[in-house]
Amino acid sequence: MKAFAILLAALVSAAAASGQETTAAAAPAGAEHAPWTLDGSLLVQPLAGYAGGGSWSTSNLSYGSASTLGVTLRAGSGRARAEASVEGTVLTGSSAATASAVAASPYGRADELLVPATGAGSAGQDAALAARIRTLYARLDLDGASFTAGRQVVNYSRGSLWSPTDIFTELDLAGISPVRRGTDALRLTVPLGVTAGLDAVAAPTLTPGDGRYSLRANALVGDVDAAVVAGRDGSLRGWLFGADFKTDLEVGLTGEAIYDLPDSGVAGWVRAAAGVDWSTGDFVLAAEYYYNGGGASADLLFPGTHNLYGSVTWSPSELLQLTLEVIADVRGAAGTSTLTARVSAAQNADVTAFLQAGNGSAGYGIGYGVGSASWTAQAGVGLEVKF
Amino acid sequence: MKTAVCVTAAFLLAAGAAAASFGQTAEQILAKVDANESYQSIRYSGRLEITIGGETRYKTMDALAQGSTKAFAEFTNPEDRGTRYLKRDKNLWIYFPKEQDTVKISGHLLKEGMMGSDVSYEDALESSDFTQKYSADRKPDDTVGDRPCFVVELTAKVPTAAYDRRVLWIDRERFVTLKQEMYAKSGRLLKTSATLEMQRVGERWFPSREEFVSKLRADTKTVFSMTNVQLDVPVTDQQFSMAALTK
Repeated sequence: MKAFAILLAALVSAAAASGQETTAAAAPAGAEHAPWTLDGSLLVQPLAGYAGGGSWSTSNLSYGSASTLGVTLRAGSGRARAEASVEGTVLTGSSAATASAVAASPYGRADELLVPATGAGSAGQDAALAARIRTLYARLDLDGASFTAGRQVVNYSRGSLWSPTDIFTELDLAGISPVRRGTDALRLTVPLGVTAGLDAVAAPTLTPGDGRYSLRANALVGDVDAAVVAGRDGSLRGWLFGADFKTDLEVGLTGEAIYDLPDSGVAGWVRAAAGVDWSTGDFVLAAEYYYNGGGASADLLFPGTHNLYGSVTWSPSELLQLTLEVIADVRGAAGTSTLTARVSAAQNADVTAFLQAGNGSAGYGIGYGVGSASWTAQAGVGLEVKF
Repeated sequence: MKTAVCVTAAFLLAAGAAAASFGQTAEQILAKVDANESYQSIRYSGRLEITIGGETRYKTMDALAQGSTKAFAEFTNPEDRGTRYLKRDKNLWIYFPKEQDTVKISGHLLKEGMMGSDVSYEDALESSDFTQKYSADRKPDDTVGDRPCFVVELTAKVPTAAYDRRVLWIDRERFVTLKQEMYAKSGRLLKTSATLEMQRVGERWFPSREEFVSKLRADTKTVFSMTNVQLDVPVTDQQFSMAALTK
């Protein structure tokens, strides 16, 4: 990250110089942007959970809370911009234990700080402090093309839940909803017309051969947003070839498929997702099917071959939204159901309450995929204030 | 969908534009409204005040539009800062900055209120050129407040029209739509709009503050205001591109 920080500083300096020559008419967006903005959010989220596999026991009950302060600074002038986003979280009770479990799992990242109050990973741990740099990048715009260096979110998703072609995404599973982590990468985007472009991403590691690299082409073809991608996944020693689209024929349709081809000569595997969304009145419905031909080695969260997702969102008022989501591993008899209510409590302040129950490890959610209990139930409330 | 909204003057003006003139046909009046509100491009700062059951949420934006086919808007209020909309012809995309997520809006969602407002995506996307989708009839003149108005009724002649019928009250002197009612095929009143303030920009009058009320929801309204309006500013096609949306 140090190298990125130096690069960021250099590009911001370049921005100040190039910005003097940039006119309003040449600016790619409609707005005249302030030279910098600072915004953030405070999220307080207490929750209670139960995890067990047999008879009821109060010892299976747990309580915890997570209070997260996130701050994002964006600065730029003319052709160059930079963004830094940092988050700090105070965790207590089961939330601290879950964070430790996530850190020790394949989802853990060495560059994210987790300081337990009573010793790393110890039983009875009841508090921890977590901190991370979510994004830290600089971007240089060059007459439509742009070059971005640093920690950034690279999002290729189309679907509601599953996105096999979203090959750079790493998820933070600690909250009610998964959040994309930043990826340390170099990215070059080159527009081909106004609704098409090429996107080259390199996410090297200390051993470049272990990194991830891709080239993606996207275009609006008729009413279809479509893309094809080819990439190299050094950590899995294989090549990736994929395609995705979104369009609508009265209902919204999405599709994604990727083929993983290992160097070892063994047969590759396909992962694919297809989704549909539709609305009527105050209801929005979505359904998705996910085929994972690679098992756990291809997708730790959803190792099952056949997976289904469904959601119903009801908005009785613009200030209130209720969502029921169900995720199921069809053959594995694992699944998660979540009922969420989101209320706009005040300007820039939302309250979210959720009730979640699951069996097995299929599904996103707080700690799902890292716990060992056969079934779990959780309920909690989140208050988020943005500024 | 429930997060903010913005759209350009072109969007909202399109939702509320039409006109008439004494002794003239409905088509001639509409042509004068189009001429009054026609521009090559427009840049402005906008503010949405969305009131629901006594609770008000506001959203602010910077917007740029070229004709009625291209528009770009970026929200600037804290809750939605960096959320962007791009309209090109009948396509609409939203960009969410935190997740770097670009979403093409599905057709079935176009009747949803944009950013929780009483303005639908369909309102925003519809061209201001009503003559392509509606037949027009002149009705008896009326007044709105103290302003004499022509009244024109539009009836959909193609299935892609956003509403089956619309009635417009058009200022006889300024050729600005002061009031509008939008109806479903069943005859049910779906939405109303009213111009609360007009602003003179060069030789033209513009509705700079408008109120939209969805009759499908109880006790809601959206007031849209424009400031710093600049007409016929130089624009490039790249300003309405996917690259601009995701930059």
